[in-house]
Amino acid sequence: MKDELSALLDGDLDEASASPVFESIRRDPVLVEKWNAYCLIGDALRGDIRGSADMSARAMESIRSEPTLLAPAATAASEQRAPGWRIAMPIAASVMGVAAVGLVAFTLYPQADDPLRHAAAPASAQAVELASVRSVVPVTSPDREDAHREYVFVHQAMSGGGPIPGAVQYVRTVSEARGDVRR
Amino acid sequence: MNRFALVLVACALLVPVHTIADDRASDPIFWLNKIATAAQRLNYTGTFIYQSGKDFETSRITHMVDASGEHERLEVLDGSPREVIRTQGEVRCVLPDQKIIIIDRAGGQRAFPARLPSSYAGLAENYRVSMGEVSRVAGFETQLIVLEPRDGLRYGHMLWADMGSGLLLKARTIDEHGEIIEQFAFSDVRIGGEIDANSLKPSYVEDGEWRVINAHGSEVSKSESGWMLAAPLPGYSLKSVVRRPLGRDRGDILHLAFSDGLAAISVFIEPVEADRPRNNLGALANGAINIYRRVVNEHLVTALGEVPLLALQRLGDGIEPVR
Repeated sequence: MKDELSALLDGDLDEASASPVFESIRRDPVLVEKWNAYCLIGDALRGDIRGSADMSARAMESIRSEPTLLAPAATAASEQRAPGWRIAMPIAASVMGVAAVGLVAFTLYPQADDPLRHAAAPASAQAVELASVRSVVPVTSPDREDAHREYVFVHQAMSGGGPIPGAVQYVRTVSEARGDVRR
Repeated sequence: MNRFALVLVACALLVPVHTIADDRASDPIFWLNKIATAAQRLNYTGTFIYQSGKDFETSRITHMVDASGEHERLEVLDGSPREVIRTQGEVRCVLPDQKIIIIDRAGGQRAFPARLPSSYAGLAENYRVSMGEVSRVAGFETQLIVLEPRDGLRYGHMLWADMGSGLLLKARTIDEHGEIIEQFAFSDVRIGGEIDANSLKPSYVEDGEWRVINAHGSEVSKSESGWMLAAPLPGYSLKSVVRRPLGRDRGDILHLAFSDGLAAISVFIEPVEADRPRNNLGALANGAINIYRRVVNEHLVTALGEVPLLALQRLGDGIEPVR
């Protein structure tokens, strides 16, 4: 499996061979660690020696910069992954590898108590930071993380959503948890 | 001669009718009411894209009206599956990944049609409301309505409504620099016709493992809330006060809802222990929603809404306990 990972990272695998490797990574936390390490090594070799949280951050940034291409891969938990990867394949192997960690981490560990998820969590904030002038520092308040979502939910119910009709307004409430960011 | 008289009479009858119709069609307030009515009375189903900052998400919405009222289902198609079901006065927000359901009573403030005309008529005090161009959205001819804020305490809005039905097909919120704060836009929609009841059914069955958060509260009279706004915020007024079981350990919090007729600000007040670390105060943002928090009199005050931060700060800073 080590060789496969390496080949995948180098972009040497075609779609058919890559699929089972991704599937294995998805199932095996040890492989995720390995994958992570390989990516770190790759980063170090390229002279980019920032930590793994940064790596996930860049993973999320690359996902965000390719919303229509990569989002479907994140959506489909496993079986329907192939089309996303088919599109993703031509992207430089290093970028793709980093992106994969983000995806795998999110797919494998949806629970909030997982360290990988935590590593990925600041990523969204950082992506926002890169993308706009508005927001900068991620806010850490796990105990009250749900509170604002609940607040937003009842806020929508109360306000009638301004010009936005009916349930459409609630898309703000269920919009993917980005967490609060310091402005 | 007789025929000529007949034509004259016909013209006399027709002209005023035409004028009235034209007047109404060029009156933006008429359009706002038409938009609100259409959203509640029509059957429709479609896919829309929600954009907030640089984030995009695709969702499907289905809305049906029958003898028992409105039924609606919103399903997010990107990322983790999430859905919102609104039926018979109840809204359920379902988050399968976290196994959480948040429930609230819907539309306490949306008693149609009494509320709509008065609130939209009053909008002109806070916004310059005007007609924009006719253009195409999702294959439909639409009329653009522009609401330009008269001060820095609210955002601007651009609304594209279907010329025929009045259904809102695209809505954009912009800040004072013209930057897009958020946007909803149908990419595909079917207006009218029968809706398959199955498409409104929830896709998740809750079992014992789900955490159900009942956000439903009880109305408190405005004078008995124990809190007041020391300095009024121009254009905004207090619409309701509700006590909700959303606090730490599910204790009660107070929810004050303010509105200028279009934009809304919610203020949440909850007790906070004196020795708790007080981080996360000040200005925050979550997508298009701004948040401002401060501690006053051992209570945490959280003001949030799709409004400029300035409005939240002024409102949040003005909240005081009644002495």
